[in-house]
Amino acid sequence: MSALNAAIGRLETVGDYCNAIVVKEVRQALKSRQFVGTFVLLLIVSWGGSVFLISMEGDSLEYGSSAQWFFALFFLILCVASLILVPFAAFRSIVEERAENTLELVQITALSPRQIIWGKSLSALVQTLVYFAAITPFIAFTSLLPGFDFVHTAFSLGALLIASFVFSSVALAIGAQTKNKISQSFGSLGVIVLAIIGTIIFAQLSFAMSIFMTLDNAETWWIIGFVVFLALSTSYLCQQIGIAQLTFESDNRSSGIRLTVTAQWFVSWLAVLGTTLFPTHGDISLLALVVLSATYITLAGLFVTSEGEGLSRRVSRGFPRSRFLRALWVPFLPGGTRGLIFGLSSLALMTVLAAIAFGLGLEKSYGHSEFDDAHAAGTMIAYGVIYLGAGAFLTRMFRRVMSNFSPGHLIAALVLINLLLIVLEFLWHFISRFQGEGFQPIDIVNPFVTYDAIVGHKAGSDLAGVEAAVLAILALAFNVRAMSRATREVLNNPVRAQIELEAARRNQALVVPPAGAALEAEAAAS
Amino acid sequence: MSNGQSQVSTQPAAPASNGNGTPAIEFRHLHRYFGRLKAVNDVSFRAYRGQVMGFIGPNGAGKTTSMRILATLDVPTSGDAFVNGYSVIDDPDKVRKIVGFMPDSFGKYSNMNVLEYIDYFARAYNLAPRARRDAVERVLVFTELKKLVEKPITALSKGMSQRLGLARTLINDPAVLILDEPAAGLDPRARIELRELVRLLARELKKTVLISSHILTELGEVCDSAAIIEAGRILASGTIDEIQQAQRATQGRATGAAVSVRVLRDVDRLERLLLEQPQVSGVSVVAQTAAFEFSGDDAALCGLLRHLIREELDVIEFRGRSETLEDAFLAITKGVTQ
Repeated sequence: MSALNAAIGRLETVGDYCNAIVVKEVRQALKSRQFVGTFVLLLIVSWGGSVFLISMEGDSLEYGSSAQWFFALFFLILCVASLILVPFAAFRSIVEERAENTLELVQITALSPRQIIWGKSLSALVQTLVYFAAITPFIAFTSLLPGFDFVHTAFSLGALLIASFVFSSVALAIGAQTKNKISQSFGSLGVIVLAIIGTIIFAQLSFAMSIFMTLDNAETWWIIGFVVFLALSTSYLCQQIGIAQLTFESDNRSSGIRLTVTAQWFVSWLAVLGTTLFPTHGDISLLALVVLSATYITLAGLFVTSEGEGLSRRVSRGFPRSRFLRALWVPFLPGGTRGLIFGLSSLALMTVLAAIAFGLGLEKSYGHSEFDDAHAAGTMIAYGVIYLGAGAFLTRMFRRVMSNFSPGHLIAALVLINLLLIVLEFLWHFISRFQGEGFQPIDIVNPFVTYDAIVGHKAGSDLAGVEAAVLAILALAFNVRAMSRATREVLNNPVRAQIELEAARRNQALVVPPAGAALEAEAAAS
Repeated sequence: MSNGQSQVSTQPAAPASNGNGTPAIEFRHLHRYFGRLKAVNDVSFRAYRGQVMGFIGPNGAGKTTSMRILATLDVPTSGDAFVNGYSVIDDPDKVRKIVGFMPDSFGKYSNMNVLEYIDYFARAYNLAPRARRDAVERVLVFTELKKLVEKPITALSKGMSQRLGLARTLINDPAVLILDEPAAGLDPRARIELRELVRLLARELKKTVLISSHILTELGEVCDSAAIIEAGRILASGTIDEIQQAQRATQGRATGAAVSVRVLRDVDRLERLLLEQPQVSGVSVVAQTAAFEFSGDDAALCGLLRHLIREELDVIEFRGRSETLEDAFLAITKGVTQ
């Protein structure tokens, strides 16, 4: 008993230094009927399944490769617990905190939003590990059966652990967004549906990988590393979204999301292009990569474009001192128009990468010319610019009458406007009795039709890129003044200038700030 | 005043224990709008270290919104609020370290007992293990919850829940306490106990307490100063005496004590005699009692009583009627709601 007590004492000491949320959630979970019930149910189902499979296998238990079936059963059970129950519990945990007004009590403690979200993620991970512990004896039993593959088992369980962490992060991000009963109901439904679909896809992929994947070549590990990066960076992005929801209004809610998005698509590009370093590498479709990245950047850009303008004093205080660094920092700072700058600079950077890759001849064209692929890629990037420009413009218009304008509102407005234009396109074709297969200028309103026309090299599609470029320039023109203002707000920020002025006074140094900054600082002080 | 209200004073209350001169709490031209609703409209007042300040107003007056802003749970549309000189907009993290907020209703976690609840919040304030255990012990003793540590928090009575809320609020030993309707729903005994705790916090532990309540008699007994708010605007603020004097001043009454005299007979003669006195004003007679304002000191009041006896009036009761916070509240507010 003394050894047990000592072990408990040591565990308590570890608990002293753990995240407060983790300690609280674990304590609550261990007392909750739902958690204990699930744990017992896992044991019963696994035990029942084992008995059933043993009776089915009969003598072949000793000679066949029965371990595969046993592992598949336990893995499926674990998938349901780790990918559906745990994420849903994470979602409920944050939703209930908000509904019960306990979240506010936590928010005004010394715990940062990052610690709160991380604590919830980690406690979800702890719960997953407890469920793993429930299945461990059955897996140990399976290891005694013929056909047991230790490497694939470890690989599958590791992948499941990561997947559970990612799913929980997504659920937490959704939970942090829900602020009323209606959104909570939709959120619950969304989390369950996503978790079920995700579980089915994950289980299928796992079984496929266990059959087809060979772990003895470098390229496989490169791809595994890339997938793990995508999974963990998505999890990190979801956490940033959750953190933003809990962050105080005058604080910076946006930079973390923008930096994560940039890192994610940029590293993905490097990873995909990096596969060409392997002598046995497969073909890569640059066009697909551009379309996926442009869509991702545009969506992320629209989210940040719908933010309100203006920089709080709190955010302004953290600006770099150098104007050059401040200029570099502009796309990552909060504010709708700076969100547009963020989206545009990301698209520009991606265009440079794509141009280099096309220049190096890395594109593998599937039945169409490289020129068409480059044309389609450029046009899709132009669409990104058009949507971002329109989004920024709409945000400014809507914010004049709607202070709580959100990304959901912006995307809904853009989708509605685009659908309306597509209906007009159909009407135009109907009225003009257009029967041809070619591309007409009005078809530019539909990106799918445009893409199809370019890669299919349809008549008239040569002008699609030019048309998209003109529209993109127009979309930019509507935002030039706002972008200039948003940049100057950072470069000539009076708060930063005032801080520097005060620092200079404190140090009694003979530092004369730039004339404009000094004037603005005095204006701000007055 | 521009709003037409009888705004007697929005100047800071006099420091009871000023320390370094920085107010413990300061609202500076605070505004908070929800669409067109001006929940808080140009609120300015101060409270100093060791003061208990009552925040009084009808439902929907803007008390909770102001308190939430001070507790860094909301941001003002314009203006600012400060705690020990730290802005709630610019330095919310510093404010959180020195503020304890007890909302009017707070949720309870399921599957958690009293000790775990307090321990959780002690951890949330990043207290080191030893300091955390000490803090938990201290607040449990202070709020007399020690015997209930194993009790599930969902099973606590309203009074005990409020004690638990107070214990949570005190766990990081904050310099400033914001208590929103802490006495709501409590029975008389629990209310008295809570009042004593608040008094102890201010007098002995030198905490600054901003407390809102509808029970004005309770507040009157525990508060050094008060701010009266209605329809988002501060109508009066300062010490209780200052508010009462200012209220009398705005009503055109003498700034003296309210006195009442009851006689066995000859109430008309009593009224005449009182009206002859230069220090007496605002005489009103009901039955055999005359009530009036007396602007002199205690010696002069003694002289008045002697004079009435000399005039052979059968005085059976002579007393100074102290005005309550309730009187001031009723006189100052107009029942405006938004």
